[in-house]
Amino acid sequence: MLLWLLSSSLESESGFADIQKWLAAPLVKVVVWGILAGLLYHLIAGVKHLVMDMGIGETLEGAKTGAKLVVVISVIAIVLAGVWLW
Amino acid sequence: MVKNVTSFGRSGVSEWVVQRVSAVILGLYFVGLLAYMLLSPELGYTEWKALFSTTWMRVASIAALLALSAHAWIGMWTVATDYLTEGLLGPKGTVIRFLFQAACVLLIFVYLVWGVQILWGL
Repeated sequence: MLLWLLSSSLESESGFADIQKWLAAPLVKVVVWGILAGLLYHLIAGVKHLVMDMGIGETLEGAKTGAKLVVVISVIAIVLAGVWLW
Repeated sequence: MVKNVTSFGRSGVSEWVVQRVSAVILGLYFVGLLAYMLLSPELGYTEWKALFSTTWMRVASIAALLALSAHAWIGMWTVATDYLTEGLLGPKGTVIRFLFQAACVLLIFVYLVWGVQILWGL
């Protein structure tokens, strides 16, 4: 919920510059990356749920490949998010 | 049949639908916002402020905020009724679950009010 704090300062005056300075700090980057990682994994696993709701991959085999896909795609997305932040 | 006073519907089907509709709203909103941030590397305060000043962005943000509140509540309710039970925690299970859910509602409400204040610049 750090993100809320950030967006709140973004909406105010030139607190934008303060946020930019904040986001340059390594520790803040790690925390933000952690939050992004959690959200990305949640998003990708959620999409898998919606796909399974549509009746795709509902067999035991399908569920196993789906779960593997979620982990692989999540790792890629999380690494990319890290590249973006640094 | 399980009677659950903390669900909105009678059977859970409405929660199931709300959870998925809110998930789609949140997914579209945040993927869109992420794409915008990735496509504008020289994003400054002026552009950022202008984006959130447009009516369509405010409507989309309010929709995402309401979706997030509903999504978070149903998610926490699901976790609490699955894991914070008398079966797992002993006789105090119900009290602990009630306190946990009350704390969740309070937190979600605070985020909702805060979010609306940010969006409408009070």
